[in-house]
Amino acid sequence: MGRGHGGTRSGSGTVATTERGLSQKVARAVTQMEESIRTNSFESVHAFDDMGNETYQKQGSAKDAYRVTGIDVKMLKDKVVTHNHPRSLGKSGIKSIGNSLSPSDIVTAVVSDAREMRAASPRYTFSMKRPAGGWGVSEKELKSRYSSVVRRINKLDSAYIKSQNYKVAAIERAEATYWHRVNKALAKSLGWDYSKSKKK
Amino acid sequence: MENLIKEKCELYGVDPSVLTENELAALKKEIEEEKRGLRILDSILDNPEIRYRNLK
Repeated sequence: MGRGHGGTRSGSGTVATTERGLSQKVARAVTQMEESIRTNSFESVHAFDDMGNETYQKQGSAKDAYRVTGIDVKMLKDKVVTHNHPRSLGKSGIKSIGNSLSPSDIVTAVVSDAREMRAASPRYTFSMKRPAGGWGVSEKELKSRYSSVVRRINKLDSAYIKSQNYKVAAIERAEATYWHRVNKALAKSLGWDYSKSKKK
Repeated sequence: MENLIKEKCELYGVDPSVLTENELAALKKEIEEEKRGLRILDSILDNPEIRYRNLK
């Protein structure tokens, strides 16, 4: 099951795989925001333009801390969009990794034609980047592809958990890496660029 | 609504029968929002603990 990605060495130092392709200005603005929100107990979403300016932000509520609802997709077009995933806050062991991007994150990225969708958990950053030619799928096609990928991963997980005699550790491992493995498979099937990097 | 719940659960690879009453209510709220053209980031169904809760 999923191992983390590291970084790539460039002339100016190590660039995390999640920051590949971003200008220094945008990467700085986005990662600074992620550092400021990754340990928040409620979710918030932030969009950045090509100059690194924050052009949109919306917060979840304390009552509904793990979601941000009512997103205006028009505001996300061509933007680098990031948000935090607080669900793993305060958890230890493999559960502290946090969730990768969810289907609703990716569907929102495609529907809004965002340039990139990112999520920051307390320990990791996850990213799905729009290919140069565009996302290349309709919402309907994407959902159908997702359903097929999750069915395949669920089948693999069931076999793995069974082979481990339903040990809680095995179930927790499957749970903790679930969306990362789904996104890896989805990106591979659609020719997208998916990555994750550990917080520095 | 039942079909939309089923569709959303299929997208997330979750069996609707494992959802609690509160989770189901939150899911219905999400679906209503989407019907109004608004989007959400993250769903009640993201919770990785939902998926295999029957196995623990």
